[in-house]
Amino acid sequence: MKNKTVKGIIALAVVTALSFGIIIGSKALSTDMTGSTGTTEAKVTEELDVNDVENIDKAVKTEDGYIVTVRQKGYGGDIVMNVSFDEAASMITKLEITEQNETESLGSKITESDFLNQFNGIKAPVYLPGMTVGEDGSVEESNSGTADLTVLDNVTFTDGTYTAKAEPDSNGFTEEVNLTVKDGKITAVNWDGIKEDGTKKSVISENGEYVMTEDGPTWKEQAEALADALIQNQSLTFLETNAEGKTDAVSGVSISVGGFISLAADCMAQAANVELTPSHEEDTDTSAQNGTQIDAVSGATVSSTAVVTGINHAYEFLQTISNDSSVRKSTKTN
Amino acid sequence: MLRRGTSAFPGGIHPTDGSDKLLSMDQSIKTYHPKVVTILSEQSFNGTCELLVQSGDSVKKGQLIGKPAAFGAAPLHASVNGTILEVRDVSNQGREIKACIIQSNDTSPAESVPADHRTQAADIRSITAEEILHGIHDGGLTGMGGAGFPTHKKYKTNKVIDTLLINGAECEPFLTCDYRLMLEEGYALLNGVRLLLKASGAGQAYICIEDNKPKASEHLNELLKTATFSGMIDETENISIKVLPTRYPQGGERQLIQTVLDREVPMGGLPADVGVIVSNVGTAKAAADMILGGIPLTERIVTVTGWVKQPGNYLVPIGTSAKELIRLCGGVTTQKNRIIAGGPMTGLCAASDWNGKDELFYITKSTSGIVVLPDSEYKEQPCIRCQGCENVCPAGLTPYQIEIAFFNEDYDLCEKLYASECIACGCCSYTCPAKRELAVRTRMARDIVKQQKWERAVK
Amino acid sequence: MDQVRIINGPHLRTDRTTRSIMFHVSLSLIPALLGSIYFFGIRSLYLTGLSVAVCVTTEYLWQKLTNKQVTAGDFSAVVTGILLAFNMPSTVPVWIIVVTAVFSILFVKQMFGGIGNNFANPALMGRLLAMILWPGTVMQYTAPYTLPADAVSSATVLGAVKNGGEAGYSYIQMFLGETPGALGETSKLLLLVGFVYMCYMGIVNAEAALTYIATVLILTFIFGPDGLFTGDILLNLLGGGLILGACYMLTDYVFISRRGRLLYAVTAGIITAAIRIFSHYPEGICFGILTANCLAGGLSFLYKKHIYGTKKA
Repeated sequence: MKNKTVKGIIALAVVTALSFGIIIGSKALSTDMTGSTGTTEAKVTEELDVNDVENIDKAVKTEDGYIVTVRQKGYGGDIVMNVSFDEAASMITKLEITEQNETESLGSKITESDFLNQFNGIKAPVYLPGMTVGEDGSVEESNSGTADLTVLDNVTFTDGTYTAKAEPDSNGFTEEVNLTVKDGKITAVNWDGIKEDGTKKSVISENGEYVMTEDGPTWKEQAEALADALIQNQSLTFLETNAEGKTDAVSGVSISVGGFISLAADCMAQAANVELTPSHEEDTDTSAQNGTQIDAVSGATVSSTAVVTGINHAYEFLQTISNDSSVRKSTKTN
Repeated sequence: MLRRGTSAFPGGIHPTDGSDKLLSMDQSIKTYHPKVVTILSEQSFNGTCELLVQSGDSVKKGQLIGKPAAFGAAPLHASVNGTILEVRDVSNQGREIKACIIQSNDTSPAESVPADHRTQAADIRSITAEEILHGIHDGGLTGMGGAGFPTHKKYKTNKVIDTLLINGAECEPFLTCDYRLMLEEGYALLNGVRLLLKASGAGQAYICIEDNKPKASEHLNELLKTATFSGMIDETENISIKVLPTRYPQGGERQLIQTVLDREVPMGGLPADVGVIVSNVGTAKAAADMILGGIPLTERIVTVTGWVKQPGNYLVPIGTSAKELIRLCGGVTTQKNRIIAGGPMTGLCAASDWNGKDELFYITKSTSGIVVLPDSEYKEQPCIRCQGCENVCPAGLTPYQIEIAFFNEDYDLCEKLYASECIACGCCSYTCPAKRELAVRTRMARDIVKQQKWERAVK
Repeated sequence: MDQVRIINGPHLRTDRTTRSIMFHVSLSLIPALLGSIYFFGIRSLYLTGLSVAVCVTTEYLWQKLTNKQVTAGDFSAVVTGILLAFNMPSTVPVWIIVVTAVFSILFVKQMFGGIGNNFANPALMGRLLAMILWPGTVMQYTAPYTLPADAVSSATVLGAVKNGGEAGYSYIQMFLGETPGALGETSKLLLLVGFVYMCYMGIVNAEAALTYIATVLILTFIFGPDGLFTGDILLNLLGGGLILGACYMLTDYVFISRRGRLLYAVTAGIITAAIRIFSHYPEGICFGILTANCLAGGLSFLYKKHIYGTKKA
């Protein structure tokens, strides 16, 4: 019995050691194979002073840019994220969420790659559909777009087919609205997103590759519902959007409708031969606002907003220091 | 015929690695003649005899000194030649039992048993079954494995017996008395088996030996062949050797029947109910001594082993003091000891931390050994429901549940859990990692349940 | 009682004690613990140590305060502590460990009468509590830091696939343990090393664990996400905590009966598979085993035991 115990313990130790050999060995092997392509942590060249900056936990200058650790209050507690910027401190290169306590499978989706990948290589600041970036870096709800749509009410449309295209979004989809006017009425509206390779959002949402929610209507169904609503109303003003760029005006539609509104408005403006007010143009044009629009996590406004706000804080912070980084440097060395 | 057992009983344990038996396995039987013997009037449970002698009487070896006065008693004989010193109550394992103390006159350990039946197969054709049964009764034969039930009661049955099992399994650790007996008294044993076979009226007899004693089974097989070949054993006497897997409690009566014959003794029944009688090898040898040699059961082989200087097997008269036997072996080798009468699994502890001076107990017809073990301390821990006890129970009981019911004094539940079927083998206590005294409590529950059943039957 | 103990046999007892059994179980968890230190950093050792310390102390104090026999030294609380920590992500706050450890020992184990009388596995109950109270925190797993830092926090592989994502890790990685997950569950290799050790020491019977795993795998294969017979067997086997659950949680002595163990394992397997297939939780092991725990008593009664002497001649 004693003998067996001793034997067993020795065997356990040996096999464990061997297992670790396998684990570490396989690790070494896989690193060798991936070789230099393996992403390695950029080398930290300098730590930035963040003592008197609210919400910023830590900021470092690295060989190829900056990494700022921001703490922002979310729905279920603080969200801590690492935002990486390029050397010019204007382009976001990567976003990582390191701590969060958001609602499981709602807010916590901010940690999923679908959301995070949007931030790879975009220009700061960022905002969610239907929001503007405030002076202090916070995002506010933008209401300016809605008011301008009234110019499209009670106008006469010229018969014909009109098309409006948006800039490609982060997923590679170019959104497009086709609008047909016959006898002065809008008779057909088609909204779709098309990738460069010809993949249509409506098609892939049908076969389940592009899923909005598990059980809800597909993107295509929602898009068609919106189009039908437009034909019914012959106007866009009924579509009141909320902070996330969503609407309650059409039942069953939970997708962001900002893009649709701007594109449809564009078509209608063409048909009616009226100019849309420049302020509205600015809102929908990404370059005008000097930032990038981000798709929020559906159903998690607060969490998404917190992330966006956090990123903008980081951006603001970098803007303040980039002017006089040498001073910061000296304070650090002291 | 050397045959291997195929079927086996469920459960069971391997309490030791086998080194325990090696202590005394190769020690041949030595005869010891004590100066004084103390013969208890109660040789086994419920076996009280009425003593027929008074102090001052002179007795001869084999003279009847006690007549049965209880259900489980057999006639009692003087085991030495000598004078009765006194008849008084002696303390034996915590009880006061009337005993007669005999001063031995035997100066030299002279061999008194006629040797014929011990060296060859005897001619038993002229002896009738009736005569054998009488001889068994008059010789005061009892089971020599442990329980000590009178042999003649077993054989006087109105059931049809088809098989006689001679139990040489000796599954208890440490004990080697049956093994030595099979090796050294082979012919006496075989003759005894033949007599018992005749008495029982069974068609076949199996001598059952565990496979950790290959020498014994081969030796007996050899003798059996020689005797059959020379025509000394009748062809109608169907005796064979059965080799059984080594596992405790293989030598339990019911488990033996299950292993060899794949029969189960019905609940509350006796082996005779399934046509079987089981007798110990020692009993068979005693039968031969009595019927062929005329000597009643007055001596037996006792293994003295464990933590003693010189373990050995001794042929001693009934009534020999255990203290003397341990001294004969050189005394105990550990101060923190525990002296056990019988095997370490089912035997009773006579003393712990024995100093070598106090009287312990006296050899009875069913004392197979004196085992000295180091006293081990363990504390009972709570049951962890590992069900180890359930897995090893040869009777198929769930000792941990019976224990709980016993603590709650829910004896009806004990009965439903078949506590009455406990064979008191001790496997559950042995295997319990929490060191719970399952065997003790299950046995207590069994006794209470049996009492309950009996009371119900009376009403 | 002492007199009884001295007089009555058996006088030989097995070397095996509750303590030695639990000690060997603890020992068999050491490889996986070392693995978690390797994958998730030294914090996993601190967390496990803390969890063990809290479990043992709670048990000791409770037994002292209630004047019960003190069994805190029998390693059973150590096993509970290790398993509890193994079910938590490496980033879990210290106070969650403390609260769940006290809950497990006090409310699941001791209040029901201590070792052997708990109605369900204490470590799993602790995890269930944490899952209910702090779902975001305890189900937010961290990727091993041996990996490139592009995946600092994420769901387990099973969780990621369940939510429509890619596994992102090869089966080899899953087997060796280089995936996000709770502390102790990721390295299947090291868990199996420990399990084989326990089998060798004769502490557990592999039947129930294997039956459980087989049941889960077969059911998840048959009712796969894309129709019948499309389940990913290896993913279900290696992607989550199935092996940890099967080898260490399911085989809790209290619930494994000689008679009912296969049925018990199949029950746990069916519930686990059902949760994996139909519900929002990717794992289901916790619920599967806990439910089977509660049913275990009843299941073993479905089997009739053969009592010697009841056979018809």
